[in-house]
Amino acid sequence: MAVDERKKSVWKRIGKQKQIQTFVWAGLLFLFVFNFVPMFGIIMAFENYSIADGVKGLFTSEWVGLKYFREFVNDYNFFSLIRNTLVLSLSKMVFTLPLPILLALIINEIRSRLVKRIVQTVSYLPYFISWVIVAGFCQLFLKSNGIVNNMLISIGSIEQPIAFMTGKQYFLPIAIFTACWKDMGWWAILFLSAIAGIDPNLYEAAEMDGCSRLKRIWHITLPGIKSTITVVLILSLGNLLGGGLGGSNFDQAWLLGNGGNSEVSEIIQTYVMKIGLSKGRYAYAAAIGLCQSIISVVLVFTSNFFSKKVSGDSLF
Amino acid sequence: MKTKSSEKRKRWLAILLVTGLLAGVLSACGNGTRAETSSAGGQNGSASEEAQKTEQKSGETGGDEADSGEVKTLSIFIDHTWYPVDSFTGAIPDEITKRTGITLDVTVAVDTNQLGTMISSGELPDLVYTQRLLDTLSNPNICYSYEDLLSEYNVDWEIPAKQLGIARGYSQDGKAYTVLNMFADTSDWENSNSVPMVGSLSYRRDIYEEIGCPPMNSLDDLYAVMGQVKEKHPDMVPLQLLGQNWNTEVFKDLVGVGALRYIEQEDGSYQCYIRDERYKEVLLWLNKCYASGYISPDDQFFSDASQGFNADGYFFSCGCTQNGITGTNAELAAIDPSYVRWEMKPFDTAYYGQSSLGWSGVFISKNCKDPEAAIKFVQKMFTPEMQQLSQMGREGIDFTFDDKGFPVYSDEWMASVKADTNVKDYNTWFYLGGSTIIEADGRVAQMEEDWYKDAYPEIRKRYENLPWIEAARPIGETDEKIAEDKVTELIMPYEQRIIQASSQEEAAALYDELITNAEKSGLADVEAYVTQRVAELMPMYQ
Repeated sequence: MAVDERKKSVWKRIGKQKQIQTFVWAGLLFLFVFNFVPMFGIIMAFENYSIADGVKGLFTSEWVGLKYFREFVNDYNFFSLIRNTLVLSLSKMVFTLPLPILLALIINEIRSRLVKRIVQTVSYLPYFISWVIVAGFCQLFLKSNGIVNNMLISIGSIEQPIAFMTGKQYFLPIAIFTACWKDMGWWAILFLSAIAGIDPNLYEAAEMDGCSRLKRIWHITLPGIKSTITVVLILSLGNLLGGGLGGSNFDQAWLLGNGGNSEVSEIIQTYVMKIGLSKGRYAYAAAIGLCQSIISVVLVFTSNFFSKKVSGDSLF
Repeated sequence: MKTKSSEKRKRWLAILLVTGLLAGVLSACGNGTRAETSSAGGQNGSASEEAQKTEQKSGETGGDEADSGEVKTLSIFIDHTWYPVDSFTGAIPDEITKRTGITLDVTVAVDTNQLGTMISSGELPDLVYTQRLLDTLSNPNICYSYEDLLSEYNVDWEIPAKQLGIARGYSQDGKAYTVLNMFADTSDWENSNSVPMVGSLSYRRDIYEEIGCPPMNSLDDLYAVMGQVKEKHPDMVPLQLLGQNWNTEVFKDLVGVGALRYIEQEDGSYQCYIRDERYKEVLLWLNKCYASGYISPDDQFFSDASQGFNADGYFFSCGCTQNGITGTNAELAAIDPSYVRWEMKPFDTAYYGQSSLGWSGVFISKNCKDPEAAIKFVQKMFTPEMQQLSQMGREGIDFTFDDKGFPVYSDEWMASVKADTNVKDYNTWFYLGGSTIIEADGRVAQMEEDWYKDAYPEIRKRYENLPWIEAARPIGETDEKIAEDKVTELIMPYEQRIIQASSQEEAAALYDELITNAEKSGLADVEAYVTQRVAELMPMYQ
């Protein structure tokens, strides 16, 4: 009887929440169709699959086990691909996590509502600009006779133009800078909404106790958004190899990469595109993609574990 | 009451939003299903799809009215990202439609990965025009075999034996799924006024005369010339590496390596050209040019997104015979009538060895709504009459033949070449069954003799086509093919890194690294495979 009652009450509650539940189920359906169903395709990473066989080939192709994984690991540039992917991801992470927090704190401290809105809008608009356009801007500004080189020559800093776009030492700074510029404002919105949830009485009390503005940020705002920071950190660590908070690593490496800087710009995803997808080697591409997904899952669990240990906050 | 009605409105809005979202999700699913079904061979399409196809057939292509003179539309994917036209318009396409009853709905590739994605998703249009993935497309699940269609629809087309053999070489079942256009033997060029499409170095003749016409018969000579140019015109880029295809090839030809992927050694084995000392010499020389400021890092060779330079901004330019110089000279003349670009006379060491099996082929996909019309169209495009039309225009209107059989263009045509409106007005880009000899003769007829008189006779003397080498390259998803693909992907970035290296020592070390990594990727196995296959195939081509 008690179980029946409980069941009834669950359905009753769902019935009461039918509008919200509809949105939830639509979202879940979307997730299922586009994220879970395609996972079936992972099977091709272990098969001698050819694109010419289509979907049928997933069931009929010869089983080759770990052949493609071994091929990837034995590739002459396996270590440089891993190194480049990690260096790009970690460097972006170091800058793209603190900067949105800093921006959110600055915006929160602006008194004028108008200025606040303008700063917020201007800072998040670049998020909507495609990486193709951003790469085009880079070309335009940074080419030999572009604005930056012309300016540096005119003030006498350099005599010959700097090869920003093709020099390997410039790829990483450009990738980090553009990632910060493009995505900083967008992530700041998340932290701003977390800040908005902090009890204003805490600030009033601190002010009455004579706390300076910096101290209020340090002792109230930052602890108040700590759990949000943790969640964002863990989630972005999960997507670390994909680009974390700093947009897509692939887009950046593909569009800003070239022969000149390939020593640092060739990452796992661009290599998959060149050697796997563009040559129709989907099985090989799937194997490398799976390796990357496994690393990402390990990163999520590890970061969640440490976060729980250190700060008490965690995803699960 | 007011609150209730506003709640009601909200509820309706919510329902509308959710319905929209679900419709979006489901329609996306629907597309995926259709694609998957087609890729599985196109045999399992639903009734509604079939009905839709039938409807399309009768509405768009006319179904049984194929022979009634009604114009049919075939969709075509052109897998050449650089293609200068994206629509089947202009005087020549109009005439093609008039003579064949076919018009084309054109999609040009955005990048080189698009075709692979289209194959795997089963979303190929009626026709695919490509020079890549020939072995993947030569598959009965993806495309129709020409031989099957020719016999099924009784089309009278005797495909030349060599071209048929080449096409069959790409398939597993020994059938031809395409015929590559632009195939010619070495001997075919003997009666031509022009040259095959090979690397060419063009230069600004007016500036060359200004600096006193110094010798240009070695890489050292060219380096000295560029120094003089830079001194006289500091803002000029002495050497432009325009695209990604011809840059190093131009210099490889000049020093005698040629454009062969594998070069025969004294013991009869074949080695990849990257091992050749002369190739290393070219790369180190380009590094020296770069270090001296004679090459710009903004060149397209280094970055796809390069903005390029103004037509008058560079002295030497790497390109290929036939293509660049006519348009560039039109642009230059518009800036100043005295500006002109000539093709450079090849060095005494030059060798123009190629291994060409043809260029691109039309595939008729299994999604084609009218395979009969498609095969008849392709067959017609390979006839001499249509080759002339698609590559030189309308005989009697756009050109006439002189007594040697070479075309002489009309004043209107030549005016459009000079005004750089030829592509828009006439459009010679739909040579789907084109002949490389007709193309070359047609293009040279648009040039002034001075522009090429030093270069072309020398190139013709030093040219040979060795098709068996290309035919011997691995295909399919074999270990050798995978290794060759990896080596190919290595070469371009390494060339760029070597050229941009900060010293000759670093450049040499990078070259050695290229060879080491190529070997790690399986180069020796590929070379052994090619050596063996050449021995098998050479007699078929001789």
